[in-house]
Amino acid sequence: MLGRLSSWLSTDHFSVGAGLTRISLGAWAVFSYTLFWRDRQLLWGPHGIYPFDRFMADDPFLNLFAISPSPVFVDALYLAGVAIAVLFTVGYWTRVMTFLHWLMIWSIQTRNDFLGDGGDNIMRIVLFFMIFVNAGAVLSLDSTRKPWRGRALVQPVLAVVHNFAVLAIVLQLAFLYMSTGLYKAMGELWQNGTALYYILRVDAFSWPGVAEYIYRNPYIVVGATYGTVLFEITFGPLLLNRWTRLLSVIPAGFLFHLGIGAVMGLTTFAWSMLSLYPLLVTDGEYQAAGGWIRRQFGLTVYYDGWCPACTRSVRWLDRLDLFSLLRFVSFRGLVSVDQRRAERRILSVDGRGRMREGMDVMLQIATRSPLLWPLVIPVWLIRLVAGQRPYDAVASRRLILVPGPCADHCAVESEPKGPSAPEGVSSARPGLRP
Amino acid sequence: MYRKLSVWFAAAVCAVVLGTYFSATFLYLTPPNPVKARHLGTILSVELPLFSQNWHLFAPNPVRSNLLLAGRCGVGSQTTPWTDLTTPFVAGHHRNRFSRLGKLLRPTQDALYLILGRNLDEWRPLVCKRFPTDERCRNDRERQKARELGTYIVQRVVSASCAGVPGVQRVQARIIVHDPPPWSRRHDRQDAGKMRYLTLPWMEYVP
Repeated sequence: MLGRLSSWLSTDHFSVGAGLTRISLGAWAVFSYTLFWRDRQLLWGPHGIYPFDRFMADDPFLNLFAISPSPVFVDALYLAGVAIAVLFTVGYWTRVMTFLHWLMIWSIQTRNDFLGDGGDNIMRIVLFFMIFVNAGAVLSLDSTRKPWRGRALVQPVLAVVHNFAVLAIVLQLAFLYMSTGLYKAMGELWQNGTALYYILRVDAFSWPGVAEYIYRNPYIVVGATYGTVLFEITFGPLLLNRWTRLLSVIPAGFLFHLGIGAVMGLTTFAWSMLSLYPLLVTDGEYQAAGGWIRRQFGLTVYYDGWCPACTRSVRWLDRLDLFSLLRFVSFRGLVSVDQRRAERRILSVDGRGRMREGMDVMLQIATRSPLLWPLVIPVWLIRLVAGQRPYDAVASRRLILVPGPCADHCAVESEPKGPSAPEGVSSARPGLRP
Repeated sequence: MYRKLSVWFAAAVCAVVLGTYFSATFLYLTPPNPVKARHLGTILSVELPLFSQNWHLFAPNPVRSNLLLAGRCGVGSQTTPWTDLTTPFVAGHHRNRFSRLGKLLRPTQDALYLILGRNLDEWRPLVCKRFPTDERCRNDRERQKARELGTYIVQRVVSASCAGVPGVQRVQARIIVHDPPPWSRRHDRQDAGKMRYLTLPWMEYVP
């Protein structure tokens, strides 16, 4: 029992969630830095809305802005913050970047205390805990590099710290909801069910043209007011059961925060709160979901492994396959694939067993790779107008190198006799070869 | 053996640290109560400054008034008309939920709360009830400090709006508190709610 607990503790858990949370919090920071680029001197500059001498009189704690009163320094710090946020998002030297990113966010938030909302508050606490989380294990540049020497020795201890830090983030989130939920339950307007009406009548938290329909309807107002309190108080307890967590807490939380973001206009608050939700799902659940998605949307592509240009293209397409939905297999020598058909056009088989060829395969690949999404409509239009002709024109002219035992000399003009037969180079003439 | 020992040692240290932090956080987040009053010093030393947090978020009662700031500029004996310095930001934020205006509105709003005295730390009444002679409670210095800070921010905001007025020497701010009609009169389109004004004295123009 103790042995199992010890091995459970010394293995990283919630790695996928940590990676997603890192990316979302990082993207939020990059977005914020960009948004306030023009206003940086006004908001954080020495002669801005809260000048340097007042800031220093507050006796700031661990704040990078306290280093120098120069406006140029503020610009440099701001640019460094952008660079750190980008590196944090892509997961490069993740642990160091997490520390630096926390230090920047802490500095920038406490340099001017007048800008923050609840989202900023939770973010700076969570980022501190993130320093102890192995947030670069997946979905990061770090995950493509070799682990540093000596890591294996300290790995078990780092994993324990990682697991406790993830627990701290989730507990902090649960404390937030419980605290605000209980305070709301004490408030008169939350008790009599009209709180949402009064909030939506305040212009800064409203959405003219939409809010009227919400706040005039007693069923929506009372339902949403009580629903808010109920959701917040039950958030922590409902996390303890897998089904209430996956089917109630997470969907309700998304609905709740997206609603607040759209109707009340607290967009950045919604963003930072929802950034923590990936940590509510275990690695096993992500894997199960990934497996299901791959079964539904996975695509096996049969390409020509004897064609260098095709192999190169496949290598690129494989890199662009961010969701790992594509499986590329050379059709050469496969008995399960009609060789003549595959030689003529690239083939694909989807999760339901449907086979497609040529341009349609291109379309299938493009829809599954987010980076190729801009090409979906053009490829679809070409398919609609010209059919398979553009594909055939390229495919029929492809170069085919037949592999074989030719170490020193290969006969250039020889025709291959079959998939496993003689060596040589030939220009593809579909239909002419056996 | 070494591996197992190090794992258990790390787990014990983490459990103690987390236990301490979340016990303090629990009490820090509760409403004033006897246990909190007894251990307030320890709680604040754990939470402040790095883990300061406030999750009231529209609780116990949500904000229910529109706070608007109007400003005018003085050149010699002449003054410009009042300019609404809040509505353009709110309108911009209504047009684009991802604009910077929503956040840029916050310093002014927070400053108005400081002036009107709604933003004091909730633990203050607790401390002051128990230790009325505490330095933090005498002469209402914190309230004065908050008011001074709010007034300063307002002075900067109104001054910034007067930057285009040639020869401007002084600025004046007016806080408009608008209470929308209560729930019972939500269908009455004639009812625009109640307006109250608080005009601050003239202040020096601060570029």
